[in-house]
Parts: sequence; structure tokens; C-alpha cells
Amino acid sequence: MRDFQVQKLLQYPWLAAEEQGVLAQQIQEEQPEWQPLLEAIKALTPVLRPLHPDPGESRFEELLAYYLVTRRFSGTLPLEVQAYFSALETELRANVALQQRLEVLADRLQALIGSFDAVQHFGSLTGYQIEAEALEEVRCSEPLGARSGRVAKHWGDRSARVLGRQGRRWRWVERGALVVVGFAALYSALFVWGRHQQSELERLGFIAPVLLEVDTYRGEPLESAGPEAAYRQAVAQLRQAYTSVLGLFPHYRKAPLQEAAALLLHVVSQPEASPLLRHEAAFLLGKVQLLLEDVPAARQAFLQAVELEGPHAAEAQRLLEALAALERRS
Amino acid sequence: MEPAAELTSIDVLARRLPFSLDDYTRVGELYVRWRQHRTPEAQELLEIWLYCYVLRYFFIKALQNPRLSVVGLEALVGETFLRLRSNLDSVRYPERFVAWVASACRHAFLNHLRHQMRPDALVDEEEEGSEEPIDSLQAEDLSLWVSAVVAAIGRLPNFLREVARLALLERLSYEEISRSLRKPPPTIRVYLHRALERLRTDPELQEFRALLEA
Repeated sequence: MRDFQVQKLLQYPWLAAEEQGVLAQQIQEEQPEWQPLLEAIKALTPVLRPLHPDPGESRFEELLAYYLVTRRFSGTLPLEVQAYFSALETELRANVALQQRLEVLADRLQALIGSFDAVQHFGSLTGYQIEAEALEEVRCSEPLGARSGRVAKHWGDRSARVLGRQGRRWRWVERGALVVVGFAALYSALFVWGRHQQSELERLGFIAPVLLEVDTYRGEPLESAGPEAAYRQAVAQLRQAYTSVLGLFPHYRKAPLQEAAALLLHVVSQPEASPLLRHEAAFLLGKVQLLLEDVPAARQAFLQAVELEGPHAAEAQRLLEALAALERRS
Repeated sequence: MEPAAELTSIDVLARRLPFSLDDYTRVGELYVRWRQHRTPEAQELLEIWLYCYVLRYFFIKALQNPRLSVVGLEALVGETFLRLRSNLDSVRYPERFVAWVASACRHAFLNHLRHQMRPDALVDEEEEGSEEPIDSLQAEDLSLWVSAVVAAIGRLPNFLREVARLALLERLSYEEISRSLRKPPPTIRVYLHRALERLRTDPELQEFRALLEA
């Protein structure tokens, strides 16, 4: 089989339909021993074709976006992703129009990243507080500018100039940055130490701020008495109960927790209250009982939250399993 | 042209993962570990991966759709993440976990587009599968597809993976592959044939294909 045909065979998924037909016929007539490979490539063509779309196609835009965002999200990429991106970068180097399209997307990404606080968003959704220690770990593992250096090597002089400017700026702010890093290290150490002071029950009982947002989302007129009012009072007590110094040494005061527990228990035992409100109250009650270190009461409250069904049922079930695991360990 | 140099909260979050966002094998192992032991550590890692994956998907969409505001983006990411998080237990086959997440992201975005075009129409999430496809709303989802194929190549045995990587991802010629791997062209042909056969029957890739082509 002639070399150019062999090469074409590897490119089969990305050939035009006419070229595919001609190649298939040539192989059938001249070199049938290549037929099994052709059949295998044919069978996978719908799978492989999207890997390398024509740069003229509008969907190439998505590929560029995927490239930019993935580079941004991942420190070390798997070898296969690196290989794929490397081929894409070769194509980019040879195509000025593509580079311009990439520039537009990169600017957009930059603006988006600047206005999106992922750690805060993630924390509000899950209750995890990871910022301080994570920031320190990242700062220690990779100096400022190292990441841009990795990417810059693909983009030649322009990026080198950008890095040069960053280097000069860095010298000016070096001392200030060292002070900031020092404070960050101290804060981080205190943060980690503070977390180690917490018991497993305190960690499981942590009440995410999002759970205490009740005033605006139901859209109903506020009641001055009844289960809704009791629930709001309980939430207010929980806000009072939480104390921390600059986000360090989080602690819940016992008296407001006990107040909140009594109010939530009242809400859960009100049959006239809506099932959703009772579900939310039961879930919150479980968390409060964990913070009060009353595991049997917490378990009972989470079981009620599961039975009443609602948005926290899965989380309540997970906490029940975590409690069971904790008991098995102790 | 290069992404921003300064560290952002996205870096902070993504670097919490002990593996790459695209290392689906490790993600699958983490999911199995979480299902079996339910340790807080596994849960935290799984949730970080889930959040980052969902965030990346919608960032890619936001880059192509400048009309999607940061507030809208936050809402989309938050709702999709919470829905997936509360249904983590519902994945029947662990090897399909990533495909399940990808499919949910795709549905959430399609639903968002439908709402955008028909603000008065309420589309039930459960009915997405039965919705008539709207041509102008067809999301390409090339990013999901590409990452799935690249991950499938990564799952091949070593000797097949190298050939597939060079031929399908880097698009080298037979001669170049032969030189690079120091193997004669007939061996490359056999390896490539085997690699393609394996990819064709890769269960996770098949799952992706079924979900994305649905």
C-alpha cells in the first residue's frame, strides 16, 4: 500500500465523505489486508470525528473554551489531555485567526474568573471552610508567575514580555508580599489548629450559612406567632450562637443552642405546620443536637427529616450513616 | 493570550483535588470508596470534584454565551451541583458516574436555554428526555465528548495507549509513530487495530455516547 494511502487511512474520520469513499474503494481493491483496520476506524468515526473539528466550524469555539478553562482548572493534566492540547497548540501557532479567537475567549475568561468567587460559592453550598489552609498550600507549592510561565512557553514573545513585566512588578511588591504571606501562614496555622480542636460531632454539626437563610425565599407574609415564627426565632438563636474571631476558632455557645433546640422541637411536633417546614426544622434540630453532643436526639431528628422528605433528606441520611460509622469506630 | 497569572479562588479549589479533574479513573475509584465507606474525607473530595466539574462545564458555556451573567452562572452551577449532590446515591453503576454527571450538566444547560427562549414556559426537569429537540438550542457539548474520548484512550493498556495517543490525539503518521515507539509499521497496525476495538467496546464511552446522543 502506498505511504500516502496509509497516512490517509489514519486520517479517515476527518476526511470529507467523498475522500472516504475513494479511500475505502482503493483499499478494497488494492490492499485488502488493511480492510480490518479500515473497518475498525469506520466503526469509531462518529466517536473520533469531534476530536479534531475543522477550525472554520463554529463548534471549534467550544474546543478553544474547553482548552482555556481546562488549563485554568488543572495543575497537572493527564498525559493524554496534554498530548491532545499539544496538538491543538501546534495548530494554534500556525493560525493567527485562531489565536485571535482564543484571545477574545481568554479575555472573557479572565473577566469571569475575576468576578466569580468559587471558594465562597462552594462554601455557601456545602458549609466547607477551606479557603485559608488551601490558599497557603497553593502559595507554598507554586510561586506566583510559575503557572503563567508554563503556559507562556507555548505563546512565544508576547507572553514572555508579559512575564517580564510581571517580574519587575514582583520585585517592587516582594517585601509587601512576604509580609502578607507571613500573615497568611500564621492565619493558616491558626485555622488548621482551630479545626483540629473541633470534635467530629462539631464538624458534622456545622450549620452552613445557607441553612439559616429563611426570611426571603418562601415569599409568604411573615407570621408573628405559630410554627413559622418559632422557626425564625430558632434561626435567630443559631445566628447568635455562632462565634468566631476573624473566621478562626469557630464555636457555638450552648445557651442559644438549647433555646434553638427547644424552638425547633416545638416546630417539628406541630402537625399543622407544613411538612416542608417540619422537615427543615427536623434537619436543623439534628445539627443542633450534634453540636450539643446529644447523638441519640440528633439521630432521631435526622430520621424524622428523612421521613418527612424534602431537600435535606439525602444529607440527613448521609449524616445518619456518618454517625453509625463513628459509633463503629469508637 | 495566556490565562491569568494570579491565583484565584478557582485555583485554590481545584488544587484541593489530589488528581486532575479529567482523571476519570481516579474519580471512579473515589466514588466507589465514598459509596463503600462514606468517610467525611471521601465525601469532601467527591464534592469538590463534582463542584469543579460542574463549574468548568458552565464556564465553558459562559465563554460561548456572553449573555449568561455571573449571577445566572452562579445559579446554574449551584442548582446543578446541589441536585447532583443530593442524588449521588442514585448511580447504579460506578463506572457510569462521570457520564451521569456530564449528562446532568448537559440537561441543566439545555433547560436553561429553553427557559431563555421561552421565558413563560416551565419545563419540568424530569421531562427533558421527552422534549422535542429544538435545532437552534442544540448544544454541541464538544467539551464533554472530547474529554470522554481522551479519558477512554487513557484507560487503554499501556502498549495500546501509546499508539492510540500518537495516532488519534497527536495525529502522527505511521512512520512517526513507528519511529517514536521503535516498533515496525506492521506492529503499529496491529496495535492500532486492537486499540480501536477496545475503544469501541469501552463501557464508559458507550455510556457517554448514549447519553450525549440521546
